Parts: sequence; structure tokens; C-alpha cells
Amino acid sequence: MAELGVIVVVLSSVASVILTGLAAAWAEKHIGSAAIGAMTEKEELFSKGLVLTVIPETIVIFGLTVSLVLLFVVLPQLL
Amino acid sequence: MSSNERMTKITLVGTKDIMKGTIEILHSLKIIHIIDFKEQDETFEIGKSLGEVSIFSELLLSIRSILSKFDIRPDKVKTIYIKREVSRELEKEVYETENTIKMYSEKIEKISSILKEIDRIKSIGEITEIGIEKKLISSIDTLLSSKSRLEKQRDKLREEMDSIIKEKSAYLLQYEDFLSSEIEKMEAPLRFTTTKNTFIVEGWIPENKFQELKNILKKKFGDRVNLDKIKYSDEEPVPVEFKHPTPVKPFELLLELFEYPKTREIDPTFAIFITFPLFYGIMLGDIGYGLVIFFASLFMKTKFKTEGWKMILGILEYSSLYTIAFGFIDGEFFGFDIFALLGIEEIFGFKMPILNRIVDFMPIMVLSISIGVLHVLLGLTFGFINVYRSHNLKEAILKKGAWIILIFSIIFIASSVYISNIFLYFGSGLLLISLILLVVGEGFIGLIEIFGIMSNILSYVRLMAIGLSSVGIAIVINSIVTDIVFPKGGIFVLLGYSILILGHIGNILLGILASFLHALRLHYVEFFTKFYEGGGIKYKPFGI
Amino acid sequence: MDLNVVSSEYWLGETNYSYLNTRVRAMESNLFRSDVYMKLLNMEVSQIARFLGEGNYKEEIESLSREYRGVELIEHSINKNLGKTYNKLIKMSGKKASKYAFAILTRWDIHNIISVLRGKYSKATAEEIERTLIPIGELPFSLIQSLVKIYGYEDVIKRLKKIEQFDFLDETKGIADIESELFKMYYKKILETFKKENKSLFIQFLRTEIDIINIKNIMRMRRYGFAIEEEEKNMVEGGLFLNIENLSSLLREPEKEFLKRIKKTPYGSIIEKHWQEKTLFYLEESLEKYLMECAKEQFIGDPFTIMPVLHYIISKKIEVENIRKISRGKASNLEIKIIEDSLVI
Repeated sequence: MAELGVIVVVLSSVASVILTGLAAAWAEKHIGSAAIGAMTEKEELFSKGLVLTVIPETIVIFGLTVSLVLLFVVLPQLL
Repeated sequence: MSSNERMTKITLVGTKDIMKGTIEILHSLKIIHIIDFKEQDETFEIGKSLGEVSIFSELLLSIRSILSKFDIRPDKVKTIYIKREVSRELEKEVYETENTIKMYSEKIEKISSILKEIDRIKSIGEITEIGIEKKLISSIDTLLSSKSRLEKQRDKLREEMDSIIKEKSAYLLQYEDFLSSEIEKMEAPLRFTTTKNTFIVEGWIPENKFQELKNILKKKFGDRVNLDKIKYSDEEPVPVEFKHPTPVKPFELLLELFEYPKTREIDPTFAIFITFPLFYGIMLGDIGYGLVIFFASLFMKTKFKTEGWKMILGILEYSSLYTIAFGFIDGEFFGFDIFALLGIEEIFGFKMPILNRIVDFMPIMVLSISIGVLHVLLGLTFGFINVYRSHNLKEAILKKGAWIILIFSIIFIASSVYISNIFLYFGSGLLLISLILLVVGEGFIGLIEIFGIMSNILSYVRLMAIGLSSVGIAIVINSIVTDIVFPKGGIFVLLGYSILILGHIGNILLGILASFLHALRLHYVEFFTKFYEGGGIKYKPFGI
Repeated sequence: MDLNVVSSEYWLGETNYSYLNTRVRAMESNLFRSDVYMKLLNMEVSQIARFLGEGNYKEEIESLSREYRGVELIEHSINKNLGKTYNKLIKMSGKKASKYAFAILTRWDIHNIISVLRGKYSKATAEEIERTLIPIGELPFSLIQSLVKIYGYEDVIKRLKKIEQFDFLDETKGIADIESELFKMYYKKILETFKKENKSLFIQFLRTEIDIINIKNIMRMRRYGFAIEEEEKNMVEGGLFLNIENLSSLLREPEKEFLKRIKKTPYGSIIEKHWQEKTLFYLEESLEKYLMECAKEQFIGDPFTIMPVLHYIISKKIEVENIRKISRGKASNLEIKIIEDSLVI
């Protein structure tokens, strides 16, 4: 049983990084193109656009945190 | 802490005959931020431009077209301007210059098109066999042989034109500058309200300049002019002029990028001055990277001298100091474990490095979240003060106090695990109070907002995560080089060094950008939303 | 020269709405607001030119002020700028917009051709004609410019007949007939292209436009009389509120009945307002203004459609027309109030 647990934990930690990464990328693609659209016409929007573009990165940061917690906190307890 | 210049709204009413004189005074004082006239009706209408604005505009059009065609800019022209007053003579000179340049360009164009034709005839090849008259052929030959002469002629003309432009450019720039400011004065009435006999200027001036302006106007025009302070509503955008000590100054930029503060609001620049570089340092945390950024920004300060660049580089400079400091705590030097390499294990009884970011990520995560709690609490406290100032204590407690209590209650409940059970009861009591306050203050929607504040606090995990990814990349670069490339020896050593250099340059650039943006985001999204409303505008005094 | 029509589809990329619509919004926020018009109204012509050169029209004003001055400078600059803006819009709108692009570009072809023909018909000089041309359209602009250089009215039409789209033209006809034929061809073609999207805002806009053209014609014919074959020639099919039968019966109604019936359409109040006036000039201007305002209100639309772009196209055109009206009015010393009333703000 312990082995199944290990597999599940490892796969979950992999999935949490991959999926959140994809999600953040998808969101950033749209925000980024919108930001570029706005700043081609109004240069002063450059900084606002840049900050808005990194907003969805929170998703992947949470994903990374979850994955680290799974690997270094949950996994050792199973082994 | 509100160190900004206090602004006061004024109206200046005068009779039309002194309008010109008043504009001159306002233009030279450079203190009034004029509010443009917006709507007209029967009695109040927009003013009319003064003087020969039409002629001046024509002149400006001519000058600007020359300036743009030959790409003449102030930073390219080294000669000092000779100040001259505007007169008919100068006007003639502009048009003369324009005509001379036109004449030269026409000549050059003509020669160029002849040269093109010559090339085309040459490309036809032999033309003796097609049965044209001999005389014609010989004249074509002379035309062809004159090519180099024509080219010389064209180059000479170009040189002449260039020297004329060079000679005139300083003068043209100066004249452009002069005319622009003259026109600004002449067109100022387009921003005023006028009635049949009077004109009215609305605007903002720094409060301490009010008396001065009043005295000057009274002395000059006596009763024909009247300057008054007027009331303004809270919603009106008030111009803001920051007055911070020099070290804090660069951080004004971060507010400018967001929105200028309202008058009665707490100006968070000083708080940003402390927390922004701190967050930046925690995320980047590397002695080597910090040094590189520090010296790079010092160097770039000598190259880029615009206001915006100075501010950005100033921010980077401060942040790089924090980066170096946290680099010591993390024991990182370009991703290498510096203390292990140097064989240092202890300094002043502290085990070195104090925190290894790869191994000790849990403590750093807890630290990050604690910082988040403190930062959000600071934001809520500012919010409390803001609401108290603009409304009253009750409102402040309901809107902001409830959240502060909520966060404290969670701290107590969480710490009860480590300390004692009493904390649990005390925390639960606080929680209940805060929940009641929330429902009273914002209804049941307020309860949903709890998730918002939780995710705000969790968002500070990025302090750990961004750092981890940055150090991760650095370690990967290092280990590729030291474990795989270097052992192969020979030419690979060179390759190894280039990978190291390029890799770390890339990682530094990424680190500068990521740390900057995420620190900024923590301020804009997590911190500012707790108290900051904004709505001020930039202070643009008339005459600058 | 190549006589084939440039097909817009070739050079268009995929449509990226998030990019497109934020960019268009940013562009829209750069348009003049009402207080700017108030300033412009109080400026002299050269002042207006200078003012334009300090903002969005900088490039055009600076490059053209070597050749032109005054109203000429302003007209050439705004035309060039309009052309540039439209080309930019179409390029950045991508494939989804190609149908609309076709509609809009063809419209400008017709505008340019009619300008040339009118100029030739009234024996205007080449410079005068060129001032009215907008450098945009499905046809290459060099083709339009070469039309200006052709000597006479008939020769221009003969030349046009070589192009497939315009082979129906007949050089023996007068300018008015040719104009209405061109418009009829245009609307027929566009309505065909958009057959499936009868409800879309764009089509409604086009059909409102048709209504307005028809109403103008009816008013003209009612006032100045008409021949039977003229009626058929002038009416354009496909109006939103008034179809051909309606129109033809309206044309023959007595005054009272006419007003009563026309009041059931949105145009009624406009017509009533100008009913007593001697000329039709102000009525026609008000109708145009109504059309522009309609579009401005309707095209705001969903950010994931092409509507914001269409809205911008209209708003930009309104801005350019406003500037044109102001500068022409100023040059001919019209009263500010009169110019102001003709503006769409």
C-alpha cells in the first residue's frame, strides 16, 4: 500500500507543476497580447502591462509550492 | 507622514485688459496647475488666443518640418544657443532657410534622376548598331562620360546643404523652443473661462505660494484682479507634488506607475522604500548577482540621465544592496555555496549559511507567509487610518478593523499549537467578533472575502518560490559546467566558461525582471488593495 | 500595371482578439474629446495645423508641411492619416476581419473613383482632385492616381471598364447615373457577402445607410420633381426600415401622409425638424450625423468580436470629418456656431 501512496504523491506533485504551468502560460498568453496591443498605441502603459502580465504567475507559484510540500513534507512520512 | 506639498484650489478673476499681463506672470512663476475649461454656455465661454498666434504657428510648422526632415534634436547639437528676441528679421531668416534647403534638395533630386537615367542608358549596352545618327551617339557619349562630374556636383551640393543645416540647426532649435513657449502663453486663454469683460482661471497652486502670488498680482494690477481660494470636493483629482528625502525619491516612480495618491490619503512611498527592496532581496538573494546589479546600475546612471531611468536605476541600486545582504544569509555566490567552498562553517557562532534555500525551503516558506501577514496588516492599518480620516471611527472599525482582528485571531489559533490552549479560546473569541463585524459591515459577501485575504497572504509564498527558481537555474548552470563540461578538458574548458558567463547573464536578467515584477505585484495587488484609492494627478505647472 | 484586385485574404494573419481589442481601445482613447474640438473651433487654420502636428497627426503634418500650407496641409494630412490608420487596422485585425475589410476597402475605392469622376466631370485640376482622395482601398492607390492623370471623364470610365468589377459602367452616362450605379453595385455585393448574418450590427448599419441614401433621394425627388425612370435608377435595395415598394409609395404620398408615415421610422423626427427649410443641405447633414451617431452607439459590442474595431473605424472617420469641417469652415470664415452644429461630437 505504501508504494501506491508514493506513486500517487509523486504523480500529484508532477501534475501540480505541469498543469499550473500550462494554466499560467495560457492566461499569460492572452494578457500578454492584450498588454502589447495596448502599449503599441500608448507607451506609458508599458509598466502597467508588464505587471498585469505576471499576475497569473501566482497559479504556478502555488503549484510549485504544493508540489514541494508533497515531495518534502508528505512523501517522507510515507517512506 | 504626509510629506507632500499641500495644494489649494484657486480662482483668479480679472478684467480682460490685464489677461496678457497675468499670463506673463503665471508663466514666469511656474506654480499654477491650470484646470482646462470644459463646458460652455451663454455667459461663460472659452477664451480666444492672443496676438499673432497664426504667424507663429506658420513659422513653427516650417521649423518643425526642417527639424524632422534632417533629424535635428537638442542632444545632437552641441553649440550653445544665442538668445535673440523674436522679430521680423528672424521670421525672414526662417523662410529663407526653408527656401534654400528646398532649392538644394530640388537640385540634388534633379541630378540624381539624371544619374539614374545615365545608368539606365548604360545598361542597354552597345547602341552604335541600332542605326541612330552619329551626332546623337556622340552626344549620348558625352552625357555618359559626365557621370562622375555629376556625381561630384551632387556630393558638393549635399555637403553645402549639410553645412547650412549644421550652421542653422542650433538657431532653429532655439527658435522652436522660444516659439513653443510663446504659443503656450498665447493659447493659454483657450484654457480659461471668459465672460464679456472678464476672464477666470481655475487651477491649483501649492498652499504656501498663495500669498506670494496674491501679493504679486495685487501690486501689479490692484483691484482689477482677484485671487481666491475655493472649496473642492473629495472626488476631484488634486495634483500631487511629492516632497520626499533623496533616498526615498526613486520609489515615487512605483506610485507614478500605479496612480497618484489622493490628498487625504496616506502616501505609501516611505513604506515601499522599506519593503520593496526587502522583498527583492529575499527573492534574488545572491552576493554575486547583487554585486553585478549594483555596479551595472551605477554604470548605467552615467549613461541614462532621464528622470525615469534615474528612478529605476535608483530602485535597483537599493534593491541590490538587500540582494547582497540576503546573499550572505543564503550563502550564495552565483549559485555556488560560497561558505562551503571557502570552508567557513561558523561566523559569530551562527552556522553558515544561515538558511540554505534548497534544503530549508520550509522555514523560508513560513518566513514568507509571516512577512505576508505583517505586510497585509500594515496595509490594513493604513486603510484603517484612511477610513478614519475620511469617515469616522465606526466605519474604520467595520471596514478595516474587522480584518485586522480576523488576522490576529488566526495568528492566535495557529500559535496555540505551540504555546498553550488559552490562545485557542482567545483566538476563537476574536474570530467570532471579527466575523460579526464583517457581516455587520459588509454583509455576508464579507465572509466570502475571507478567501480573498487568505490568498493574498499565501501569495507571499512567491518570496520563496521565485528565489528557489532563480537559485535552481543558477545551480543547474553551475553543475552542467563543473560536472559535465569541465571534466572533458581541452577546448571544453573554454566552452564551459562561455556557458557560465552566458547562463548567468541570462539568469541575472531574468532575476532582475522577475524579482522586480513580483515585488511590484505584491505591493500593487496585495498591499495597495487594503488601503490605496489613488485618484490624484501629476502636478504640471503652467510654464514648464 | 497589374489590374487585378488585391485580395485582402492573402496578407492577413490569424485574429487575436485580446491583442486587437485592447490596441483598438488604446487607439480610441487617443481620439479627440469634445473639449479639444472646442479649442480647435477657436483656433486659426495654421494654428489647427500646428496643433494637429503636436499630436496624432505629427508624422503627416511634418512631412507634408514642406509642400502644402493652410487648409491644403490639413486636408492632405488627415486623408493620409486616415488611410494609414485603416490599413493598419485591417492588417492587425487578421483573417476574421477580411470580410469586413473587403466591405470597408471597396467603399473607399468607390469614394475615390467618384471623387475622380466628379473632378473630371467638373474639369477640376489634378491637384484639386488629389486633395479629395484617401489612400486606401482594394484597388492599388497607384491605379487611382493614374486615373487622375488620364485626360477626360470618358477616358477614365473606359479605363475603369477594363477592371472586372467595373465592367458594367458606360461612359456615355452622366455622373449622377454612374454614381448611383456604383453605390447600387456596392451594396448589392456587400449584402450578398453577408447574406447569412442578417442580424449583425454591421449589416444593420449598412442597411440604415441605405435607408438614408434612399430618403435623401426621395426628398430630392419630392422637392424638385422626377421622371419615372429616375425613380428606379436612384433607389437602392435592402434598406432597414424602408424597402423599394414603401419608398415608391412614400414618394407619391401627399405631405401630411408622408410625414405621418415617415414618423414611424427613426428618421421621422429629423425630417420633421428640417421640413420647412429652403434647402435640403441641413437635412442631409443631419441624416449623415444621425448615421454616424448610430454607429458610434451600436458598435461598442463584445470584446471578443470585431465590433470594437468597426466602432473605432467609424469614430476615426468622424474625427477626420470633424477636423475637415472645422478647417474648411475656418478658412471660409464661417461662424463658430455654424461649424459647431455640423460636428459629430
